[in-house]
Order: sequence, then C-alpha cells, then structure tokens
Amino acid sequence: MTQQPTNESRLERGKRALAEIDGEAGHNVVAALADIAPDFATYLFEFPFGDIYCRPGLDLRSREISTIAALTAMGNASPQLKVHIEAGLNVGLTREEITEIIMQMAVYAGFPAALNGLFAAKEVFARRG
Amino acid sequence: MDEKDRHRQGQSVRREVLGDVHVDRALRQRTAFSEDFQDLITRYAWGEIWTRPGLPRHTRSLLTLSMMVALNRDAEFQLHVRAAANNGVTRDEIKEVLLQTAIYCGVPAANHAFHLAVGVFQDMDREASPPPVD
Repeated sequence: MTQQPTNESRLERGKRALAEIDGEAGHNVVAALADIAPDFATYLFEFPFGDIYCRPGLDLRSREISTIAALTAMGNASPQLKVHIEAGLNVGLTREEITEIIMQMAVYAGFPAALNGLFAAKEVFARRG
Repeated sequence: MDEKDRHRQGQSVRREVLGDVHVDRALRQRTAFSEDFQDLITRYAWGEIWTRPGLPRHTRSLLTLSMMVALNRDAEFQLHVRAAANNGVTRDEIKEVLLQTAIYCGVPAANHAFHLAVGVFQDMDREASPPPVD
C-alpha cells in the first residue's frame, strides 16, 4: 500500500491504512471511541495512519518493528502493544521476529519491560491460534 | 513526638546524611514560596522515614540510589551519591547498584547514571584536595 490516489483525503487514506495494518484490532479501537470521543477516532485515522504510516520512506514491516520496540520500551502501553503485535503479524512479521524485537528491548528498557512485552505477545499469539 | 520535635530530629538526620554544606545552602535559598515544602521534607522524608530504625542508613542509601535511576531523577541521584558516601557506602558498592540497574532499567539508564556518578566523584575529590593558594 502507501502510494495513494492524490485526491484521497488524510481521513480516507488513514482509514484505508488502519484497515490494512491493524485489521479487526484497529476497527475495535475506533468503534470503542465512537460514543466517548468520536473526534479522537478521526485524529487517529488522520495523523498516525493518514500522515505517518502512509509515508513512502519505510515499508510497513519496518514501521511495525519500530512501533513494537517503542511500545515495549514505554512499558505503560500494553493494550496498544498487543494491537501492534497483531499489526506486525498482519504485515508479514513472524512470531520469532516479534519475540526477538521484544527481547532486544531488555537491553534498552530493562528486563521487566521486555518480560511484560513477551507476555503480551504470548497472549496475542494464543488468541490467533 | 510533636511536629516541632520531628522537624528538629529530621533536620539533624538530614545534616548527617546530606552534609552541612548542602543543608545550609538549602536553608539559605529558602523563600516564602519554598519554605512550606522545606518544612514538609524535613519532617516527612527526614524526620519520619530516614530516622526509622528498621534499616541501616547504608541500606537506605543503596535503595534510594537505585530508585533515582529508575525514576530518572538526575539531580536527586547526584545528591544521593554524596549522601551515600556520608552513610559509609563505598564507590565499589555504588558501582554494583548501578550494574544492577542495567538489568531493570536498561543499559542507557545505567550508562547515564555511571556518567553522573563519575562527575560527582570528581567534584568530591576536588573539594577534598583544593588547589594550593598562592
């Protein structure tokens, strides 16, 4: 994806990107925002997905690798980490690659952050069967 | 113990741990804006916690250092490196604490803490042997 018709709006582009990258998990996040902060759902489509993920300079696989690493290191974003582990699998990362990314974060963010990340991955892998 | 006694006791423990130079400076810099806070930490942190008998001050210094690394509190970390020396913690023991933080807080956090600690040691050494006066 990423190369889009030039007349496509940020919102349309973001919706397309979110569906492609995050699939059902992304749809669920947006649906959960509908009654409390529908505008925030729009921002979510437009900024990270419409503006950033659609940029041509890096492929989606690499973007998900960096996102999984960042969310693991933050240590306080477990729900988002799970969504992006799903997304990583959707865009072609293997389970082994995802566990390698998370293990590497033990060096930079400490063992507890990596442990929590690995258990988040375990949960996602089990759910997908 | 009333609050006045607690303040007095806290001030004395604070001087023993942080040193007169630091405490005198903090008191000199006290303003109407900060004095309630100075009073609070003297009674609470020093009068209530650091005075408790359940752990030796040496141990309290070690755990405080590791928490300051985990919480990324640079200035407080530097302060507690000096305090640790006053509490009988050796530089080798500080090194061991920092090595352990690498596991739980990550290598960059520990690396930064090593740099900060070295800077404090250099300052302490310089103060201990001032250059000769002409």
